[in-house]
Amino acid sequence: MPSSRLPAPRRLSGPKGWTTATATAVALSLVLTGCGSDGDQDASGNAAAGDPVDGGTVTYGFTEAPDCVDSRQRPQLNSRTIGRQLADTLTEQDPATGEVLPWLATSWSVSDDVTAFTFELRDDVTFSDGETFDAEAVKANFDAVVELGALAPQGSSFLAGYQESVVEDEFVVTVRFEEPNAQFLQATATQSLIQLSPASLGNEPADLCQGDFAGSGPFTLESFTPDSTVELVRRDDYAWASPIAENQGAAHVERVVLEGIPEGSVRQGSLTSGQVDVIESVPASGLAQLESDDRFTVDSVVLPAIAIPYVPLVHSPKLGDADTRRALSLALDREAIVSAVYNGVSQPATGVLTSTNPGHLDQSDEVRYDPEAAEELLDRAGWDTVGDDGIRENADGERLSLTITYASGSPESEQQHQLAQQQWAEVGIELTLDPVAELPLVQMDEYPGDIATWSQTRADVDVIRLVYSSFHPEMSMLYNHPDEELDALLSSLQTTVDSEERLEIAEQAQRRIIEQGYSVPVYDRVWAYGYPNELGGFATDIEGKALLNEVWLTS
Amino acid sequence: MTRYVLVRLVNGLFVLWAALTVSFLVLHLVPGDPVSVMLRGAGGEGSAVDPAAADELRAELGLDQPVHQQYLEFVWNALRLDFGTSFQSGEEVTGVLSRALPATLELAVTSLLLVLLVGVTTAVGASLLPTARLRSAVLSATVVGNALPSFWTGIILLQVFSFGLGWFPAYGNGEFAQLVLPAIALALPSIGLLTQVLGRSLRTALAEPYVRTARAKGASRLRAVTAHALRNAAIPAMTLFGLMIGGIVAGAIITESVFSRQGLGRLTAEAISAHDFPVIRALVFLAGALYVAVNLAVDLIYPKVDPRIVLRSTGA
Repeated sequence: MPSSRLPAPRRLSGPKGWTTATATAVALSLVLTGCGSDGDQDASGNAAAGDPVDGGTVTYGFTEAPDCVDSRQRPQLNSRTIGRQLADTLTEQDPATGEVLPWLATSWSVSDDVTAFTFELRDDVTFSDGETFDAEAVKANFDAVVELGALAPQGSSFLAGYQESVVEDEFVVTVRFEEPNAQFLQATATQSLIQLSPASLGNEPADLCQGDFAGSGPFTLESFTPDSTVELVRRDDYAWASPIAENQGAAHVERVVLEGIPEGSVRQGSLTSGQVDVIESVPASGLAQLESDDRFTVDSVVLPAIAIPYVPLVHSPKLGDADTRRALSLALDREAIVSAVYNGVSQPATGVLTSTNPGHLDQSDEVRYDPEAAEELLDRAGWDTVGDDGIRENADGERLSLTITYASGSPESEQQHQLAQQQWAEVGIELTLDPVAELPLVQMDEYPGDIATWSQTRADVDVIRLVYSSFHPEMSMLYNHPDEELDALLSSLQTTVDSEERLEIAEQAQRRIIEQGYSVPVYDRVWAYGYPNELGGFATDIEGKALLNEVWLTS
Repeated sequence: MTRYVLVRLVNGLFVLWAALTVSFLVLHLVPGDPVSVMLRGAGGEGSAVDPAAADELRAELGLDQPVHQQYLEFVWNALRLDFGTSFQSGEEVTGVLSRALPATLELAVTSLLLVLLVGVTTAVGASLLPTARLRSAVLSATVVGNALPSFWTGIILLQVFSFGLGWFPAYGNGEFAQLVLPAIALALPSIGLLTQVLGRSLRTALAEPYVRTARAKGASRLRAVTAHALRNAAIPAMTLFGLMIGGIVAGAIITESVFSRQGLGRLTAEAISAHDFPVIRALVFLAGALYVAVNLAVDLIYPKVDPRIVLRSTGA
């Protein structure tokens, strides 16, 4: 598909929703099984031909309109999508490589101990209220996120250990941390740390949620009806687009109207009947139909995140042995799960991270379906007697019976667990499903059952640091069973800035996680955008959020 | 009569208090913690949550106070119609509600008018049909309307009239065109029910001696139905109609989601899934007040329709 005009960055989408990660302690982890995230994705190629046209209104069908447009306060994708249009960030990520690129910050340097980050800023940027973007503004923004605290869950976790920002010069600012914080650089590319006008930062958090702020983005907020509609108007003097944007000036379209259309079939029908110009999250039920309709383009993107896993809890007495944990992985037929449950909106996992995460290591040699190998491992682990009911037992007569406790309510995850139950039963493992209305907020050692699952999106390898290290014991999946080798790798992630070296460390960590059976990756989530061929320039950033200053209407 | 209304109002206050108390208790008893929902995000995606952040947020929302204290504070505030701020958005609950209310009112009123108009017309029309078999066939057919799930009806209406014919928009609210399909989807089940009930009581009334007398004196069947039988047959339908007002508001939860409309229904669904206690309580209060008001109104109308009915406050 052609188009000559793809923005340089087309490509993969990235994370979204909770990215957590970071340092703060974020904790507890596990949580819902499988549920969905809001996804992101990316889009890339589009089929529209011709040169960009200016003007017009693009209507965008959201899965769910946000209740808050301050993306610092809402880590969900829908708020981040709006945040991306209204405000800019210090850095950007190359959607292809994950490399951190300059944006509002033209360059930066990091101290040898990775505790101080000095940014040189553009001097030609203004906020939509007329204020100038400068070092004072950056300082005020980081201070404000720390002040928001729990109300800005992700941003404040990225800033864990924040000491101060020092204004070195009108356009030079240094951000200092108490401890090494290498992940901070990538964090400055996320919508959790968007730069707002200092004049806005003192507003009440609830008012900020309603859009009472000025950013430096390509659009300004015209009107916002929570959970319903967001209207954006182009900023004519915008001239500092992200390096991944093909259009470096003001947006092509004059207005964007984003409508929340929660029901998937209605969203798709609205698209095919021409009532909206682009929809996110094409529903699995309609994906094949839309893909075969040559009037429309579907851009599917794997979200850069962790692959949604089953996590064997090491502190469970039956899962203390690596062979048993690895057997779970080998006995899982991911292809079958993906085709039966997540038709077209996911793909089988190939490693700890999804294939579009910049730190992804393809581990499909290990992360494979091989029930015979699984049975060998189980025999070796001492589960070598098969009882009358087909379930394995050990020498003590203990049955290999495991429980997964998960939040009920998602038919997909329910179906996924049922398939896993059947597949594991074939090698003699019993899985009991324990759906609960809501998972408790507990420390990991109190986490109910033997298997957990979680999901987190972030276009950085740091996404695995929190839960697979023992640094935050209450939320470590390895509660009370620290893996020193893994700890060493993950802590060096925080002190390593060089991206090659970071990747090298991250790959070793991912290998260790799979070798030790700390994760049973299941699937990579996919997010699909649909739009008519007449829509030009459609592109997304690394997290899969649409770049609405890039699109144009040809008819 | 005044005394009757006063007593009923006092009873109504009691109903409201009971509804609020029960909802308060239920919210505290069911599993689920607004804080974890807030920290984990509406997408349902799992993630790590910092226990310290959770405690901080809990304190901020006042959820760390003893339950009885939360209850007393809540009742005192409710008495002053102060429902606090939404956990989710931090906005005043009254603001949240007043934003959602007009869309639902507009939908409910249109829908109820449709129910009345179509329901009464169909029931009266059916009773004018020449043979008993035809009359009964029409009434039976309306069961279908009653049996259709409104989610399904909504999707079908959208497929045909929005995606197919393009007559009406598929989503949003504010314009009349956006109101048509959801109002029909919401009204259909009630139309079926009202037609049934009114049709059957008309049939009973038409068999009464006074109708035979009227007919013997030369009244046409139309006149016998509209001038004589309808009034008498209306009482059960009126009671039903009062109940339907509640049903329509409940039905709005699904209709508003299918048609991507703002409104109390969507708000209710969202507030429940987010455990947004202040919003849920205000919605319960509103629903209770509506229930009390509608019942009182229906009771006050009875004597106007059937003068044999006298309202007394004794034993009320």
